[in-house]
Amino acid sequence: MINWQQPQRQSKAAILIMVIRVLKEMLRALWPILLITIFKDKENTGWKLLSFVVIVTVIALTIALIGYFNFKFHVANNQLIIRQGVFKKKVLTIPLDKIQTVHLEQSIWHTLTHSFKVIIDTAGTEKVESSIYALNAAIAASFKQLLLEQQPHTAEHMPVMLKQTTIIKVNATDLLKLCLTANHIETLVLVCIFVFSKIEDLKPVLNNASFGWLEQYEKQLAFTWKLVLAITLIITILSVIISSIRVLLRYANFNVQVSSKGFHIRGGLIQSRQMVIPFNKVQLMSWNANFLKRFAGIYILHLKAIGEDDLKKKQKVLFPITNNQQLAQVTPYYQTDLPNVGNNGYEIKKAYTWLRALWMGIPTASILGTIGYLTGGYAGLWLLLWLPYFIIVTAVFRKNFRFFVNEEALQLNTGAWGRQSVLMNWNKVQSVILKQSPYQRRNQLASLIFFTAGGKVKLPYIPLDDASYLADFALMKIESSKTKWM
Amino acid sequence: MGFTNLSLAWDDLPQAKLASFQPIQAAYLKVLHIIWAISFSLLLIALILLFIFVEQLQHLHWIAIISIGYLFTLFATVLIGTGSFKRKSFAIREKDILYKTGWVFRHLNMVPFNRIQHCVVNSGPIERKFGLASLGIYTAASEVHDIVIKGLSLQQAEQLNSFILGQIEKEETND
Repeated sequence: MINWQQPQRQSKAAILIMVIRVLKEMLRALWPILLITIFKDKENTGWKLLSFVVIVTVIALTIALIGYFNFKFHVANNQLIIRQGVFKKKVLTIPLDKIQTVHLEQSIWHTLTHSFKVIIDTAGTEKVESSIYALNAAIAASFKQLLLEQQPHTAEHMPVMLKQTTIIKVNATDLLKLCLTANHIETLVLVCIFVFSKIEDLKPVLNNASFGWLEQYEKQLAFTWKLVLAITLIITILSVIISSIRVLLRYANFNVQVSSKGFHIRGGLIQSRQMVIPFNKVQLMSWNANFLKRFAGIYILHLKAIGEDDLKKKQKVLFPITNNQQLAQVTPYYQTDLPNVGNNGYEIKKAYTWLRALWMGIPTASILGTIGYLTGGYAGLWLLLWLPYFIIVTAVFRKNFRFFVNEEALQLNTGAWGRQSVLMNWNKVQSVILKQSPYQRRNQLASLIFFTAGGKVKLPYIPLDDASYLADFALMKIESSKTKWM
Repeated sequence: MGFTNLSLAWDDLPQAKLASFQPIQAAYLKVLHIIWAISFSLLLIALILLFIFVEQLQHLHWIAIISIGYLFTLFATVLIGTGSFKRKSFAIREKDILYKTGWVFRHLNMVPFNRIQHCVVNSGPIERKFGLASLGIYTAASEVHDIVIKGLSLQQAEQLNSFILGQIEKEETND
């Protein structure tokens, strides 16, 4: 039995994890310099490499050891106190009731040492986030339980749930569907950014190397449709492979369970992650599908907790929904009474399309057209085609925009090529803004924005009376509700 | 359009548009005038130095373009700033605070007391000279959208601050 009131050290595995972390950071910063040194002066390469490895390892080990011995944590007076720091000592005090989520992460090094990294998230304007690099698996689980025991967990509408039940499990077919429908364009853009940034780093080395042998091929290559097709095919296959690897890394062995403590999310191929999100910490719920996922019937569900904007993408609570039954199993933990059931919803006004075209489409098209003309002459004006594309996308978005309201919540269904739905309980609203442009004033229209601690929900271009009524209704719900918003 | 799913009629709700709004202190316009005078004087000095030291800018067309830009920005700031000043007003109701702002693009901010995390009374050197202060009201909303009511008298800001904190405490006790 661990006495958490006494200062505790991390597991010894933390030294290894910290050494690897420091080594990674040093190598990331120093590798171009190392390459340049080796390539520019090819004498004594072996000695240089060995000295580099020895120096870097000694520095990393020293930092890791000091970090390990300086890192202590304990729980006292309902506060988690962490003392840490290598060069600058820091004492972090987190009231236990401010802790939002506790994540357990396991990289390959953690798996080998039977340990977990513990990430503690807090909320509010004074956001604090802290990590314990490695704790023995059993100790990490008991520590997480200790931290979460201090919190109220029961959601207003939560179905009675005593034991942990699996509600989502990603099987091989789901994984295949997720791989094929991943955002391949995003992957392609990320790969291009990565390659170009590395080329910039390597320029000094590349300038020194001889690439004359490549020039002979340049003359042989004709710019034919076959070449274009081959390049397109290679890029497409490469994007699909890389997207699939990303999906597998994230969603292999993935499952979501619920218990009275909240959502328990586990998954990951190499780096295994475990998260617990108490029901009452979820501020907004959204689910979306890109163009491909829409046809495969797959959605990515996003539980937006407090301080969502400050979270890194991998810390966001996202999980795949591969059929409607799964969605129906998750939403009741946030809201049982879905507003879109049994009604057609409300539209926004057509003026939305034309005013967005005027204020965003035309200025952007003018900039693109000017850049196109300056760089490619009249041929560069094809960039102006962006304007009709923008107008079509905005018109489709407006046509698909529907919002639904009932006594408990507001729901939005939107999307141009893909689809997105957002569900917001009235009692999660923090503040409301009613906005009017000169055009909206003349036409008795307004835009209404609801702010929650997990993000905002906007209803643009709706009749002024409806916007005012909804704002008054939301305030009445917030002010009369006895249910805590978190 | 009328919301068939909602049972309450609009007349049964406390309507924000019927609240009685109080304007901010008239002296705040003087504060704005001083801030604009200082900012635009500094900008003018920077532009003059730029014309003196950068030879490429010492042509009539550059001087004309930059001067027109400067005068246009000055005119727009004074016009929009004065219009916006006239519209700034706030209303304290039993359970929330409302704040109107903006002249061209008008905003009505609504914050219930039971969502306020903390309030801050601020008073800069120019504001202090006129006995003015601003009151910042902060909620847990993400994407940082909290309200700051500028141009209150220091006494008014402190009273509002205590009133809001009292309301929050009352709400917490009732819970």
